[in-house]
Amino acid sequence: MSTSPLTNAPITAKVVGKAAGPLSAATLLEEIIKLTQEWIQVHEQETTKRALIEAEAEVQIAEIHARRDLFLTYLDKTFDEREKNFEELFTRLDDALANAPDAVGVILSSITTLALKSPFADLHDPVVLRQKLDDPSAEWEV
Amino acid sequence: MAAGGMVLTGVAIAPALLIGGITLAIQGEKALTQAKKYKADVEVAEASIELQIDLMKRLRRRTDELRSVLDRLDQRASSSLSELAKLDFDPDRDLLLLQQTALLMAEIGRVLSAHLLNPNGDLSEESLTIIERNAA
Repeated sequence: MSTSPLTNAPITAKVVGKAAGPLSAATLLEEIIKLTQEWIQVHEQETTKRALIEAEAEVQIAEIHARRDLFLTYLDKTFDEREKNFEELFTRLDDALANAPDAVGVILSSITTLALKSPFADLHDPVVLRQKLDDPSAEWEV
Repeated sequence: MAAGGMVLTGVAIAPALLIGGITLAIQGEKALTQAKKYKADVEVAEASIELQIDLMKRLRRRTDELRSVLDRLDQRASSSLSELAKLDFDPDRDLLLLQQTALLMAEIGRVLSAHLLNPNGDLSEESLTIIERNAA
């Protein structure tokens, strides 16, 4: 058996290099612990971020659904009411055309004013919209 | 000796694999968050699009309403015009009918000026505000 320093060196250092040495093993362990701690930290941070993202999305979607319900309820009610008002105005117009010519201009003006007023114009302010829906006497008159 | 060397090589590779795995796990956490963000954005956009589709259906109702008003005005204007055409026009006697016919025609013109969409193809300026608020 050779007694030279090279052949007497531990087989570990010779085969796997520096990384397998006792000191390197400690460094590796330290690195693994450090990375594991980072992983735990990142996991906690990212879990929080994901929860926040989901919560924010839920809030936004709920807000859009609430607006949708408000807008559609308002528009449907408004269109129903306008339909009735147009019916009434045209009945009055026919009556005026036959019996009261002086009233024709005023009734026609009411018809046009109602036709030109878009129900969508009220959608820009949801607060006012809600107030109108909650106060039927204020909204559904021409 | 060779077998011992292989075992020790394995001992060295295992920590390296562990380190690689943990690094990948960290990147995976971040990628998962990014994916959740995309998913959330898509869900919000979907809700917003559904709202706009519903508003478009009401726009259809608005066009039906205007068409109905125009049809009814047109019927009365046509009727007045036919009546006028049959007459040997006497200003003293038929002025009122002429006036009514002119009024009906003028109102048709006014109703025709109603805008359903703005120049950009949107519902109206107000609807743009709605969309902006929903996107916020």
